[in-house]
Amino acid sequence: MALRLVSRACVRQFNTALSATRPLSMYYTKSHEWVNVSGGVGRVGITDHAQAALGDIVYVDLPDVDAEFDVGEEVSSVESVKAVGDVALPVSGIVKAVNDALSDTPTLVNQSAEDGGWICEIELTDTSELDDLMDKAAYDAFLESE
Amino acid sequence: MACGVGIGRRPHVILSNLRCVYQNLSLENWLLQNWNFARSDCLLVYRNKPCVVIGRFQNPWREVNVAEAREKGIDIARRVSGGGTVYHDLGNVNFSFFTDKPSHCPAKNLTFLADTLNQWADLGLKTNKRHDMSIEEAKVTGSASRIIRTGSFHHCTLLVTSSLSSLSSVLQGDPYITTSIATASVPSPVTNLASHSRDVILTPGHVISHVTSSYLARYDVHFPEPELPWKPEQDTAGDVMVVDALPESVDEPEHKTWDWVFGRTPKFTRSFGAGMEVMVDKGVVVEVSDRRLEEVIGTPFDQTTIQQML
Repeated sequence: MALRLVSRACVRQFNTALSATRPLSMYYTKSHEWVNVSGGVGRVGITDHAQAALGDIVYVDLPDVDAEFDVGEEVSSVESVKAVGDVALPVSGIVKAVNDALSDTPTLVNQSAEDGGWICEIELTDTSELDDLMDKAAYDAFLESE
Repeated sequence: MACGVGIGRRPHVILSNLRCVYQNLSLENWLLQNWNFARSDCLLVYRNKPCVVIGRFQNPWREVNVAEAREKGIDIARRVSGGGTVYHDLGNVNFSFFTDKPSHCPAKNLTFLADTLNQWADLGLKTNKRHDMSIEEAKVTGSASRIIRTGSFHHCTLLVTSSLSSLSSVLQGDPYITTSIATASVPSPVTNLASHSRDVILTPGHVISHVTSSYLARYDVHFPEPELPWKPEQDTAGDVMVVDALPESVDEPEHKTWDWVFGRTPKFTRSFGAGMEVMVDKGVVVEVSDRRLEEVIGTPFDQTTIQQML
């Protein structure tokens, strides 16, 4: 129960910190990552589909703050009971914050992959890259077709 | 997830004659990044001279007696897949099954190994959901996997004639590491295949021969020419290639570096008694609880050096 409250508080803080006049937008990749964007800042994680496929997560390798990555580059690695997999950055950016809670509780990603289980926050360096991503409806359709 | 052998796919077997764990892990990782998964699967087979291999996010100091390993010339390596710490010697055979992501299926690979070996040597091998293969209650394999955007491998050890007791002291890690977020090993009883075979003499060479022939026989399509960016020495059977040296483009130094083996260690704290402790991040001391230890801040963690200062 406490976990749910913490994650809602995180999202509210995130919303306020960014431009309050523009709606948050969730974008998805075919490799099952998401980026939640407002203005030029995005929060990144893996989708619920991805966490279910991975199984129980035992370790999340967080990137360094101020590290810069290109779109598609590996920004994090995740170890589950089944395998070590990569998290690719959906759009190019500079890491501004990481979700330290994942160090002690990597299973947060299983419990709340698209909310409290976020991995890092980035400052986007090329917002036009968002045009190459899917919205929720398109991602759900993509999952159906897989 | 599909669990059948790919129809119309072609198999390759790559036998590594390299015996250095750093070279074999580099070869394996290079294949993962460069293999043409669209058309073919691959089985890489390798053996290492005595070494200890830790999982991707493990703590080498917690898993291994680092000082003793160094003294005895036992290499410590970190692999790119997860899981726990294993000991390799020439009596252990490593199999690495490369497939595209949809075909990634460790369960199928282990069933294949169990069936092949049981049919040949009547060993009574069984597999379980944790991707272990055992004889009675003792494990003969340990498995782990690595999946990237373009492909995957599942690899496992197979104890044939391994020296099981000789390195038990090297695998005693540092008991004074008090907090650690690294992944932990789960110790289990283990056994060699050779001790359970009554009629057939099992050696690593014989096992490799049987398993690789059986692997190739599962596929319905075979081509004489391998499609690799480099041409290792080719066996008379076109699907089997022998590697005697790393391709020039393989980045061997990376797996051997301090930065990879020790510098990728998740944060931990090591106690030196009487409330004194050091905190280590990425293998380097970042905080100490006592002023006498201040000069080690910023240096690579070394338990012996710190102990001598106190």
